[in-house]
Amino acid sequence: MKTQRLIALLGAAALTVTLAACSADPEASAEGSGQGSSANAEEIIFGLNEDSTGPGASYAVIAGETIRMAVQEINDAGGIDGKQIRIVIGNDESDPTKTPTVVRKLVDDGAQVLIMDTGSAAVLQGKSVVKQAGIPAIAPTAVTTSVGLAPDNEFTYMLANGVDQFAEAYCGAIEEKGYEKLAILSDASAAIDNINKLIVPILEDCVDVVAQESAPVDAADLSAQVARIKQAKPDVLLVSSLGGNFEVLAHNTLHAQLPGVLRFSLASIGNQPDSWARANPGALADVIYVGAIDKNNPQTVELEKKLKAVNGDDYRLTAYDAQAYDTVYLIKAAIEQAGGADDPIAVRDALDSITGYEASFGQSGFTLSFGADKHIGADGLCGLVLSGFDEDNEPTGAWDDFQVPCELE
Amino acid sequence: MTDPQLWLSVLEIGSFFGLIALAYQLTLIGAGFFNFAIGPYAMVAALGASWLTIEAKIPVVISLLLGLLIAVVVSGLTELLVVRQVQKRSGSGELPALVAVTAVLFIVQQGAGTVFGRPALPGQMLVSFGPWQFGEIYLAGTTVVLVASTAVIFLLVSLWMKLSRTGRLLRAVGDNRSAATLLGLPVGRIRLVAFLLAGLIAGIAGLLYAPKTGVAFTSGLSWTLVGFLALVIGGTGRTWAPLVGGLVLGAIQVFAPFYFGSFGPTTMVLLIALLFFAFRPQGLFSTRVRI
Repeated sequence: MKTQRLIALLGAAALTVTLAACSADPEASAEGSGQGSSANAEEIIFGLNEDSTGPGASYAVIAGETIRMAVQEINDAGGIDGKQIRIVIGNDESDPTKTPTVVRKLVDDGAQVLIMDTGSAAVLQGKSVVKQAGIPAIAPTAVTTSVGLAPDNEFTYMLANGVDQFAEAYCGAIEEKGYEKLAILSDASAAIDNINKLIVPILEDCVDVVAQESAPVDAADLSAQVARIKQAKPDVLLVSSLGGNFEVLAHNTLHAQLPGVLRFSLASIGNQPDSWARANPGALADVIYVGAIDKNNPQTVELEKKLKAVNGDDYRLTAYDAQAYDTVYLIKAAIEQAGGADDPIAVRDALDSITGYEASFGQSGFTLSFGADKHIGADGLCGLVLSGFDEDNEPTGAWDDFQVPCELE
Repeated sequence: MTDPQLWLSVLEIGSFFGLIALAYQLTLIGAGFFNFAIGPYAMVAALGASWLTIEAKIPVVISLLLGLLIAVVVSGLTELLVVRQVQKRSGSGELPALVAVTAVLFIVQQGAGTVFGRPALPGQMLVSFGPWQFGEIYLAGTTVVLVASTAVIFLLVSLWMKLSRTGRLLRAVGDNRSAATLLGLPVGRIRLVAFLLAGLIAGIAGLLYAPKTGVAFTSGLSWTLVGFLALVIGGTGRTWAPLVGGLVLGAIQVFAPFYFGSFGPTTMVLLIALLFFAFRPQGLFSTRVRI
């Protein structure tokens, strides 16, 4: 009986793990007009790899909804050259091991362009598959520079400033404020591991990094990591995470146990309004994040109006919305210029020829341009806006103490 | 080990793990298998209450009660519509029921995401008080409520198991289901009570823990796993065993990263689980059988 119970127990544990994996398997579904596995003459198929259930869901879902809104907007206006857009969906849960399968499935489902709405590590893993498939792919929210750089970047694009430029922004602020000892608290996801590999060496050149702690994305408590950080006596902190539950827990714990110490953060916290409500009262008041929303940008204001019309007046525009929206319209522009989506090489070449696209994010005048050897859209550092919060955990806009200079690369 | 802040964290997360494990224990006694849908019951109560408060603008107290009701109903339906039907067709073996409740786990999780939305929501509280600062120690009001409620719930369940007729029947069914059936005890009704009570306790656990960082539809799976590990460590021999297991698991999760850095928590939890599976599968407290 005991043996039976043990076998049953182990079997169930194995089943749990298996089902967990299965639930993350590429789920292909279709949205828009019609169903089917390939495009017909009257439609253009966008493949959307959307992490709706994994560690990137906190931002990918926001971007995914805006992608759908932009597609609907285009379809309502007659489509692209008279053809309606249909979206086929996969979900790699920001897990690089699943990305190649998801990408191949989307291509099999007839995708003519891909939107990689997932973690940067997953996009990196998918680059070579995208190259083999020979269809353009844009990662709207990616901030890992290597997404848009060689090798295998012939068909892969990103819009925003790379995360190494985040580090330049932090270093500028650290030097301006005279901080000397930095401690870093990170989540242990593959995407953040990749980001840290990029930014930590740059930070080490401008400040003494006295502690680096990490914890699982789904950690229940961070007191131990924060206690170790306290022992290193930092005068400034960096929370490096994908956002979501980990980021909230990190700021709640750091705010309580290291009050008054300024915390830098990546872009996530500024773009996740649900996280602001989940943080303890005042827990974000010492946080400066790398934002990308500036209400002086007329494109941003225009997009905010559209989103509020669809989602209600309480909707808060995030950089993810803006980057997702721009991604859809950049693809539309490329397909129109290529004369259709049937020839992916022509669409890719058309993308490469886009210059001076006025972005819906970044400071006023910030533009996106691509070229055969430039697959990172950001033209200069103006896409970054160091931003803060007030005591009510509401964003206050641009940080008065320091802003990244708007220098062209 | 001398930092009181860390011990406070152990108490907080250990209490939550213990409550989830207690819900496991009740269905294990009543139905004889591990109900892996316990985590989603906790999640659906917390997410439902938050959604009702924030999106449906229903007063917090009603939302919390409705959240609990949802958890209890989902738990009861698991027994009536899934487990009982599966066991009726496949015999009373454990494996078919385990497969069925594992499927329920993912169904509830995805269903909650569909109904209540996929963004995480902040946990809801009836009253907000604290936090307090005692020197270096930071004590949140939610921690006090969670720990105190856990103690009360364990006390009440312990008394209920010993003093009430239904509680004693549940123990009898847990001791020997076949004999209980032969004696004409209402085994089916007792099983249902165990599921309903498990749903209620899991729901309370979810509601009490959600204010820490919020709740998302994906929270259920990780809560299922920590509750299961807490029960494996604590065992099922005493009503308080799940709480001991939860506190031990909490201590591992807090002190392992403190002493071993990022290498610590996952490795230590898996190592401890492996040791218990291998050398003490009955947990710290096993059932004593009087002959």
